[in-house]
Amino acid sequence: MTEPLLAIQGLDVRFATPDGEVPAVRDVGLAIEPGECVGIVGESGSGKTQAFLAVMGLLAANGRASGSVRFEGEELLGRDRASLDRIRGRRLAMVFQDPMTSLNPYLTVSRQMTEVLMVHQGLDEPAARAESLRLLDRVGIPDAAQRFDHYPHAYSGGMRQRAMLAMALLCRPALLIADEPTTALDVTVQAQILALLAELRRETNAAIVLITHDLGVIAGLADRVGVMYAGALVEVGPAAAVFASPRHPYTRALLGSTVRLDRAGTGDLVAIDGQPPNPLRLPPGCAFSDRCPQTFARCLGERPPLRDVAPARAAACHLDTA
Amino acid sequence: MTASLLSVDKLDVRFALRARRGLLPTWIDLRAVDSVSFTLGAGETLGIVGESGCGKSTLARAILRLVPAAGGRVLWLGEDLTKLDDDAFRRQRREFQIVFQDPLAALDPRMTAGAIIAEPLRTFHPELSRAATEAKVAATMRDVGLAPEHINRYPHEFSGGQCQRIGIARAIVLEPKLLVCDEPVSALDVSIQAQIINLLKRLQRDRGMAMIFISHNLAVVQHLCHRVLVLYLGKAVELAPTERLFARPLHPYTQALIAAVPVPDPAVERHRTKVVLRGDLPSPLAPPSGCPFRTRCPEADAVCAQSMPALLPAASDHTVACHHAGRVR
Repeated sequence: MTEPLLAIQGLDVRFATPDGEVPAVRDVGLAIEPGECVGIVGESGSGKTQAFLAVMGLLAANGRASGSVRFEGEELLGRDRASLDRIRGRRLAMVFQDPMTSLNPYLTVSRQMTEVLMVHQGLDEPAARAESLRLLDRVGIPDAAQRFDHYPHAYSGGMRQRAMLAMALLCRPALLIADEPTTALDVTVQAQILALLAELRRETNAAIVLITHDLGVIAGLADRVGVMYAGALVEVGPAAAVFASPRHPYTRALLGSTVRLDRAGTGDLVAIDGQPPNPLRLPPGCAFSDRCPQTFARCLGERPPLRDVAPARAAACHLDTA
Repeated sequence: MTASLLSVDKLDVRFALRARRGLLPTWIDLRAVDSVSFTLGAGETLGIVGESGCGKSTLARAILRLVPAAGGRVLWLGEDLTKLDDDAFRRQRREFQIVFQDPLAALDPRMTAGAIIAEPLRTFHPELSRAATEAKVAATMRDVGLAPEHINRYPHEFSGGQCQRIGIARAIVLEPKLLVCDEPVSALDVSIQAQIINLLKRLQRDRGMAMIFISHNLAVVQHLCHRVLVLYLGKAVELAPTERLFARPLHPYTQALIAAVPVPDPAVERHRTKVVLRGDLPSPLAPPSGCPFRTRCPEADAVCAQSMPALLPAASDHTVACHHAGRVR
């Protein structure tokens, strides 16, 4: 069997804080195949962003990752910055939620884009400018040639996110990690960016990891879905199957508490009582046990591992073995 | 129809912004809310939707006199609130309360939950005994799903969802006739959002309060509201009963807005027809001539650039401001 594009195994991320060590990501394992789009969904603090910042080697200074992250056959964890820089930005790219803080406000968009091509691909400046401008135009910046030499503040929120996407795609990465790429945008602009992501995916055949708290964003784009809760993956499977028949009670609850525009129900939403656990004081058993409507004795004492429950589907719940 | 509780009539809000061009400072008039009218009946929930900068929050604040109105009237049980002097207004003020988006920022960090919830009572009912105030606070806390034993905790000791419950408790403790909610669930996680939506729905039903619910989340508005007002660049573009608005939106902007909301179900989402709008919202400082939506509208023609379409009835309780509303769809 050939190795997947990205293979994450036993990934743990811990942060040293004055209150003790906080486990942000716990034993995450996931394989991503070339060209595939995987949606990672979870609420704030579920570890979805930290897991992929660890993949990129971008954890905050007090964060430490252990386990294994293999990308195109090479181990990424524990590498020094110089050797990471040969991979990220080129084969592996990431776009963030807030495009204003990810673009350098002191440099023109053209300077930020051409630099990527000159550093990673050794292009000379005219060639780098031509290619950058082509991509800026491709992602739908109106009057791209005129706006090319502007500073980021002159771009609207939607245009900045387009510019970020153009920048991430400059070196034709094999994997694009998009962390809440539309959360800061208005809904009509979100629709534009999601349509653009779908087009770019068809054109470049890049694999995409789409991190979001919005199940709607994932529904249109992802082939597979991973659901995270309290730092761990609790369910993984094909998007259609997970949405149609969720296996983990948390996935079911998350779908139940999401208001749907196509279902004009006026009854109560199926809210999940309580709130996610404090990562410093995780319950000894299943992290969802104190909010789960189906908790039984075993859930309180024993942590359920993520295991296969059907072809291509995995869930971390004792109900599946009971 | 019964007499309305609140009647907003051609309300204008303007902000004067200092422009930097030239030697002498000049002032630009930003029309944040431009001649918006609607009525609200007792016990009714009105949703106000639109994208950032459309004036939805400013409209609500102008109704509560948190920002001054530049023109128009706000009739509360027939009395024009914009004309009242401060004392007279303050006496009315207890009847309408507001819940804000950021629950932690809206609470004084140096006051306990109990003191925050009791403050309106102490202001408007100084005659109440300490025990009576405490009993009322505890009852309200229970009503919004807070444990009364947490009465002496400070806001930072509560989660975001619980802070929003404190904000709601403070707003309803005086039993107002109108509750204005400005994006009350937007800062919360999905599972907590559902809790707060259920709570607001129950409170509205049990207490018969009227509610103005401001949100950019159309699905939440559809779930909670009886009628919906759609704003674009400070102007009302469509107003209709919820069911009608979502089933047969007449304004091209409303249609695009509804189409842009992704449905959390791949089986549905992948087969929906998408109306993807061109471009971004125009700057409210330099709004387009005529219809504000024409720069992004798939139906726009020469007429749209010439004049702003009036908000006209398309059905008995459905009004829309579009030159082509008859032709669209």
